[in-house]
Amino acid sequence: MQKISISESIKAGNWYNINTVDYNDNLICTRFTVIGFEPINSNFAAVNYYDMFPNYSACDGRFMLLKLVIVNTSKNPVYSAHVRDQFCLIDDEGYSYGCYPSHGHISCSQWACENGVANFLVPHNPKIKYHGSIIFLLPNDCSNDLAIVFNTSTQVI
Amino acid sequence: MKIPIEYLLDCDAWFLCKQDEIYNNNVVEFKFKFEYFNKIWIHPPEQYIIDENDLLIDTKYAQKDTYTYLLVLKLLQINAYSGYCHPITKINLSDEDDYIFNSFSSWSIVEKQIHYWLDNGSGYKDEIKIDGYYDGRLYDINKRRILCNREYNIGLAFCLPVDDSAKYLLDCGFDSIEEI
Repeated sequence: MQKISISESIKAGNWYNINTVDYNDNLICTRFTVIGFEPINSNFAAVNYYDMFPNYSACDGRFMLLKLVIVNTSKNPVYSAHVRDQFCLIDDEGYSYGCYPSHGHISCSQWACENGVANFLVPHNPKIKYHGSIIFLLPNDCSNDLAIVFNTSTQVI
Repeated sequence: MKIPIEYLLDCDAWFLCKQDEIYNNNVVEFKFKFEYFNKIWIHPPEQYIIDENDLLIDTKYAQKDTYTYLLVLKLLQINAYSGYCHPITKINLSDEDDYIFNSFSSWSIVEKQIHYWLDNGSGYKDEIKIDGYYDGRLYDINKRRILCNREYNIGLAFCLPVDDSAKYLLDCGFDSIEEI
């Protein structure tokens, strides 16, 4: 299992190819680079005003945004949520964290549009750079030295 | 069937289409006519813009550093349609290298009375975001049934690569389509 250190990746500006298959077994080829990994800002609470993210206040942990630039290198549009769902984070003790379930309403919110979360709601056309963000819920005592890993069906090149 | 935009620019024809609805045995029949295909300029953080023909366009999924184009078609429904997402919103664009591009906005369905509504409404953006408005204002094709024998302007917005020389084709995957 290949790990991509978030901090090193941001520093180096590396690009990675990931190949996976969609729900219909069509090959999806995308390329991404990590441009940020940061706590969700206070505007997130305003989004929660509409109960769009009902577990927000109940969660004992911290929400982080993994910010990516992602390009679909296939010839067809790809279902971007499927690509997003391949991303996991793993800490230095081997605990892994899947992306936080994206509630439909929060993905449509202005907050989600402004920070890129909404960009995993639309199909990704070929040859377009999408600035997308993925929400993760991490334990409060989790190290910031995390790595990206992928679900088993994904191949990192 | 792929129809070059260049051909449509000089063509005044309607295209008759048939498509099986997924969840029942109904074959939906409709026809459409090309109206225009324009580059539009988005103004973040505004999530909607109104083009020169009074069409209101949902731009919240538009991307930076790309071209955003609006494809406008006139739709006339021939028989009853009971589905949730109208087949015409599934029209894609393809380029000459066979790259295919989806619309990011399948519900920018507006009629010309939009200014009346904007002038007389308040908080319209939130309302537009959540639902369409029936009867001559905003008409969300994905959430409302559309009426037969009535023409609707349908705007489909696309993020496309920055390439001024690209030539695009309408990529229509309907069960049948014929020029009439």
